Amino acid sequence: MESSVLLFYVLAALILISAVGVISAANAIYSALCLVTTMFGVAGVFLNLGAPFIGAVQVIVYAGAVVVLFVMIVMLLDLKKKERPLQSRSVSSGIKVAIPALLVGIVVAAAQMSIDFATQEGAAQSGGFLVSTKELAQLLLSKYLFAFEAISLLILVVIVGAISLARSPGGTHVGPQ
Amino acid sequence: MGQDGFETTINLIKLLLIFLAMIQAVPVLVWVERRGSAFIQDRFGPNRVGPLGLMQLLADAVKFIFKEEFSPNKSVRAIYYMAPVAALVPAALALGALPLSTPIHVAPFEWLGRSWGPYTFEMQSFDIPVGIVYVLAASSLGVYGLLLAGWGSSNKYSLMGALRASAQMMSYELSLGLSVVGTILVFGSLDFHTIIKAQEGFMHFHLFGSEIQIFLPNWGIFYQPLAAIIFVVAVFAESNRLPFDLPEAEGELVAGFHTEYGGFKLLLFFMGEYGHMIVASGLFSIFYLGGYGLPWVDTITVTEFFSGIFSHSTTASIVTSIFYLVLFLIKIALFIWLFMWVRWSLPRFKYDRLMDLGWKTLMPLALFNIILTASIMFLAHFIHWGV
Repeated sequence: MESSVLLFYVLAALILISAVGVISAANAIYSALCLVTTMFGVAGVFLNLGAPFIGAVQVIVYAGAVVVLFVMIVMLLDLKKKERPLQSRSVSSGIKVAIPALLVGIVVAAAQMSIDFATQEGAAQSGGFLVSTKELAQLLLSKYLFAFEAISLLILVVIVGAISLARSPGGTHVGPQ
Repeated sequence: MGQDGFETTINLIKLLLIFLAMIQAVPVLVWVERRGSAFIQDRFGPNRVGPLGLMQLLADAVKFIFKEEFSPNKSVRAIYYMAPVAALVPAALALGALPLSTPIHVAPFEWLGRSWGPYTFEMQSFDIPVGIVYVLAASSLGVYGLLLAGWGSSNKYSLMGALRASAQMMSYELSLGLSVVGTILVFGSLDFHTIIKAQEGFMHFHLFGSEIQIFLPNWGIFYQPLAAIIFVVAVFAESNRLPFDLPEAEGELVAGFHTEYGGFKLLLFFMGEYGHMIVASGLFSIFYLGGYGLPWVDTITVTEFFSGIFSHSTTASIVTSIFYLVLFLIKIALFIWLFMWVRWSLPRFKYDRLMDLGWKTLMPLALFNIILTASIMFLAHFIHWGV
């Protein structure tokens, strides 16, 4: 077996195991740490695909900044009571299992469709080449400019929403008083 | 890893050597720090054990290793033991990608009855095409060691220190990254070797169609003085040194995130901190002081000079490489001395002032620097094109 294929399976196993850890860990801090491992796995996959820039940016943005914020917020919470997943009544447990199952189904279907695309278009190009940062930037600012700007608009909406929630009295939760 | 056994072996030895060099530098730096602080404060410092107190390092190491191994009763064991390693590893990973000197070219030679083909050994653990992004990514992970230490110890002071550390390091990471962008714009690359090569010789640039030459080394600090200042301040905050050592402010938080750590575990935190200092000094030299390069003189001249003295090309290459390594180490040592000088000269910031400096002063300045650099480069390029 080729070393990059072997590496892919190792990384995929790491990503899947730690992603399951994220949603099943009883303690929020372990959940956040599992998320860091997942991000490392994804960065490793990018490196394996010959895109070191995206891999490094993945580590800077997600592992280095976003998840650090998660960990920080979790530390500020008062985590005395540990909640096990799937311990409440059977009906709600059933719903909790059904929703992820549905999501997994959608993801698998989407993956199969994209593999179809990949075999037709991508396979000719992706013969183990290194994506240079310049090519990436040119694509991002020409062909995918609309998607790029749409994402920044989405982030702006999220920021405005977070600020307006934080400023409203009581926030999302109306207190007992 | 390598085309045959010889190259692989040398590369593996190199990986180990660079890591060990970082570890070995720590006791020396601790000694310099203590003697240096004594010198600045007009005291003696450690001078009892051995000549100049140098054996103090060995005594300290032995003391650290033989201390009783313990963990607090209420600590979360796994995280408590994970934290010191998580503090050390990012620094080691980042240091591995810094180019320490020119590559060594080994000419084909006969050995053990077969010929060994020409090799090129980079003077770094591994060469990565987007080195700058990689080093920034690796060193941004250092905050996990502090966070985990604070949470795993189950101690109020530790947790306070960890929270301060994470907020501070994340705030200053932005300014750090943005200050580097200006340098990347000027030299047009994310690769360390290209940036160092671009800083050789005299300062010269094209402006409005004419070439201008100035009697200064072609260093980044003369192109990006503002970015250099922002970089230094942000790096001080990133490595949690005075005047930004709020995560371990001993007057308020006992010892901050490492209150509950002793013995070798504490030493690992020190290694991480000094490792970050070495990486930061290396980055400053590469971005603003021409990396391993000799001011005014380019690499080709030096290589030819040593080729004239040593007849064998491999020997000449090794000597050139060692010459540049020493130069780079001198630059790093000078910057580390600046770290220590500032530590023993300035008082600690207040926390709100720290955040103000990070978000309201450094970040707008860094953004301004990017816009300024980009517009000047665009204008110069545009008008040059028109002529």
